[in-house]
Amino acid sequence: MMKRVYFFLGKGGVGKTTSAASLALNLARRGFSVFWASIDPAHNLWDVLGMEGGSGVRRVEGELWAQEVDLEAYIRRFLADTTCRMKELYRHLQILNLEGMLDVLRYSPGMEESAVLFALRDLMETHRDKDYLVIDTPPTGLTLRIFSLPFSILLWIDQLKKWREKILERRSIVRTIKGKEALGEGVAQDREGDKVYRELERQEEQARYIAGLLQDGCRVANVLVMNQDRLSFKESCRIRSFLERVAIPLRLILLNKFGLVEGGEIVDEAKVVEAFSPLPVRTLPFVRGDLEREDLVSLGRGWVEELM
Amino acid sequence: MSELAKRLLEALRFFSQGFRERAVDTIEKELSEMESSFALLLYSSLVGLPSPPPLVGLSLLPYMERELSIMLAKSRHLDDAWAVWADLADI
Repeated sequence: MMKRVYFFLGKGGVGKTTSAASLALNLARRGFSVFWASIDPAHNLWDVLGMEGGSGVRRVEGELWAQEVDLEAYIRRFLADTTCRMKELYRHLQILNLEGMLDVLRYSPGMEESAVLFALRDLMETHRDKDYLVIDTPPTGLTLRIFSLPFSILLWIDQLKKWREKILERRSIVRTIKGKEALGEGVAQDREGDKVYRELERQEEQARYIAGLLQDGCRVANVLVMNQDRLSFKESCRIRSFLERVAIPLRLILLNKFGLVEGGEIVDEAKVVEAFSPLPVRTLPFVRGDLEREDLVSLGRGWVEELM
Repeated sequence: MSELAKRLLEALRFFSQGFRERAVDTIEKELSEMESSFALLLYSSLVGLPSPPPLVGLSLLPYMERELSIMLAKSRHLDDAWAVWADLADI
């Protein structure tokens, strides 16, 4: 039974993967089963661990499993499934060039975010027997779009359902007055029989599940990773404001590479504590050179317990 | 007398049917506009309008044959305003 899902958020290069690795290793060494996944299209999960990976699931040590999620594969699978259903259902396929459409849509705006939603649902489903799921996210821009997608889907579906209900109501009137054949064969007049309405409800249910999960502070813990430089601090403030707007709680602020930044650009710890109050702020020291696995475990001292 | 009443009733039934069909015609036209708009709403990014996330539009695409056909038929006749007017006026 899954106890909690952790998301590591922050500006590119602040150390999200390193911090996520530290949490995952520390949880596994306390005897928990952990699945650590990277949903960043530019993964470096295996690089941090110093392992050769690929897109499959690999055991890191003990009950710690990891995967660099292949988002392209989710997009391909979704588009192939859509094309297959269309070929089964459409009588006049000449109106659309399906294979051509597939190629164009693969790189359309919004597809990557959608793929992450599929991946999240899939990860939650496949690894529900694990105690913890640790998710390393892409840099801020994409992550915020991913986090806002379920809410955006819910807003659209709400309006589309209303519009669809009006259509079904009018179809029902026409059918009542003019008889069964008036609308043509297989044209639904009620919500139960309408595949469009049912698909809208299915999408709504899935979006509601993800949105509910993200907003549930008991099942999800969001960790914001930042450095002491001004840009990373500013961006972290923006992430916090965004999360507040969509009612997604933050659990912890990690001030990573503490002690690296010097001079006029430095944002001191007190300023971070004040800006993010009442959230706890913990520091992770800057370690020169490549981090070995034991260094990653040591980095978790003083904050991993707070997240359990 | 009864013959006259019968004819009157028949005439009334004829008028009532006519009115009913006229009313349904209007609802049918409204329905086709709404179905076309529903498709346009889902796939409006193709013509530069705000559209729902692609996930929603794509998931519905396999079931949108009727609406897409209506939308495409309407768009084909968009420049033929006289035909649309004549259709509305039932000429």
